[in-house]
Amino acid sequence: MIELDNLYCMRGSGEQAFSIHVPYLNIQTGEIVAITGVSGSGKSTLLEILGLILQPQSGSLRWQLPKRNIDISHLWQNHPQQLDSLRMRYLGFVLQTGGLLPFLTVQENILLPKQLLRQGESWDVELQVIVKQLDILHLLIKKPYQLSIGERQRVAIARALSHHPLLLLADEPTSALDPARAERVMQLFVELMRSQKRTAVIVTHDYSWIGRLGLREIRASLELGGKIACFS
Amino acid sequence: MPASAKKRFTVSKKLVLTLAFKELRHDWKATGVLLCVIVSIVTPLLILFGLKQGVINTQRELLLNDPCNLEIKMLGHYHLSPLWFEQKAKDSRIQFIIPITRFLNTDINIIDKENKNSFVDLIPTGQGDPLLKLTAIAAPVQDNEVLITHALAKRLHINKGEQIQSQLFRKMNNESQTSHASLLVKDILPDYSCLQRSAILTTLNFLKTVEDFKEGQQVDLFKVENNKLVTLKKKPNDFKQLSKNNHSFFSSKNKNPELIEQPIKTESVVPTQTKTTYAKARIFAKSLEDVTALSDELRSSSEEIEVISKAAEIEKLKQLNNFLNILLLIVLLIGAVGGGLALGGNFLLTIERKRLQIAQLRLLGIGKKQVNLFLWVQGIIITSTAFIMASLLSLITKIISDIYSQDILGEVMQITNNEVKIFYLSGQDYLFAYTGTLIFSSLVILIGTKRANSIEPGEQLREI
Repeated sequence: MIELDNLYCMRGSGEQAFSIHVPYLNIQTGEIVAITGVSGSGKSTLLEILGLILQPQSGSLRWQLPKRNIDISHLWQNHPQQLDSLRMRYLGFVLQTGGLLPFLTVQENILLPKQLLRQGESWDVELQVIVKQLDILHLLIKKPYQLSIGERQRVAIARALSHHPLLLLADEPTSALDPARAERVMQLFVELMRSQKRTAVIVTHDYSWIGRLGLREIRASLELGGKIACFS
Repeated sequence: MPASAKKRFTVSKKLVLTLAFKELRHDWKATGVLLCVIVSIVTPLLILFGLKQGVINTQRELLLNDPCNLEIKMLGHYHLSPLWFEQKAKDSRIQFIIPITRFLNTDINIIDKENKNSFVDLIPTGQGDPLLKLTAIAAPVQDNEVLITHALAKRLHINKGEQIQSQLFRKMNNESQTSHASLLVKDILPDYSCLQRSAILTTLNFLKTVEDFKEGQQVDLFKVENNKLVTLKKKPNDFKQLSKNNHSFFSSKNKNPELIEQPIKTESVVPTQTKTTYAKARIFAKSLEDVTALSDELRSSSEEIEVISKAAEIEKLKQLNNFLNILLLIVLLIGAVGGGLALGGNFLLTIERKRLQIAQLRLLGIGKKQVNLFLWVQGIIITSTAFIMASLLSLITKIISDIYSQDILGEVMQITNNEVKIFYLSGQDYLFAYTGTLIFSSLVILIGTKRANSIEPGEQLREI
């Protein structure tokens, strides 16, 4: 579904310059991939590239959707403004701190991606199942500041899935939780992804549950004295 | 590029407006601070603007509604020909002009109800006289019809519609002669600042007749019959009114060749001859602005006519207006610079504080244009609400000033029959002020959106 080929991306300049290199990466539909590595190894940078937020300097990034193929590298060079639309339509994000909009209620936050796509404000069956599985039905009228961190992350997962994105990107979604809760949330997240047959890329530095949950791991290895991170 | 990728989703503007409004409501404290900043800038400016408009307008109304302020009074005696009057009557800046005879011949004795004598001034009037126009008093038409001043009516207890007895004296061949005429009081004038003396307003013809009589001519109106009272007989109207509406007397079509072509007569002219020049004129300018210009012109004319008018007061009004304009500009500049820095800083800080929210909106796929719209909507809502609040505060000021101005200006309003206010702002003034506020806010919002455009969606991902 997503194919990265010999992709380079550099951040900063001079002594501060840091690059990531992805020789080749192919993520299949329905696959859940964990990107791992030590802190500062460029995991989030790779996620930004996958999330159409950061433009790689070279290499190729392609989306192979059921009915269309999209050359993201080409869009970056020629029609960068279209990337907002693609992100809105096909991607869902779960961030470290939830990233919920504080001025909207839980329900409004969850439905916002649907509204942005003019899909209406109705709760489809799939979304109802998601909300039920995440056990956030009782939180719908609350504002984010009234929720615990764990609740916020569960709401963020629901929001990321509400518009049925093709790819869900999660950046350390459980880092703000204590280990026991973190694993429960991650377990719930993975089960939900599998039951919904969704594709997901999860950035994490917690290797312990990757094996237990049976995720495919792509590890970042630092080369050239930490100046370049290679993902394979 | 693949054709399929060309399809773009555009975010509903309504949704952006809703989000902007919800965010403002949620962040009500920051919204309140921004509102207060704008209100504190706009309110004093509105009040100052209103006071400026009100004071100037009030002064103007006071000056304008008192027709005496439009009068240009001549000092001294001149030899003003009918041609001179004809030219002046054509001047679009003059609304009324009428000749006056020599000072010695412009008074008459009135015998009151107790048979006491009172000498009163005679003032020529006619249709279009501003002193009559304001209260819609008809000018006397017949020579035995007069208008009297408020002071005269009060002093001699004369009422409208009454007959008064007038008396003229002269010496002919060392013999005192007296003549009488009965005059009908058609109306009583209001207590004008320029007519606070006992005076009778008559037709020019009447005034001319009095002059002729005093200079020894035989006139029909005042006949000498052994000092007995004579009944007024109508005399053909030699003089037509010299108002702007009717100055045909001086028009070439109707002009009397005898009047214009005869040389200036001395005082020893044959009594039966008609005078060709006049000593003075009553002149009323059309507007306050015209008073100054006309006064200057009369002074510098070949006749070197010395005049007095309210030009100085009018000039003071202009100076006051200029001063208030400068004051308003200074306050506006201070308000704009200080308020601009406060508002701009506050707005930028607010955007900085909302940086993650903006990054989140961008991450969700909302483009820069929509984020700009989001901020513009918020800016316009805050500005408009603040302006409404400032307007309400200025209206409260207006109510308070109205109460006080009733005390100060109540009497003036009764005389002029006009509503005058110290604080005044028209709908147009408010619209003008609102437009200014919007332009001012727009500059601040523009800077804010520039800053917001630098916010990238990735910032949300890197947030700890």
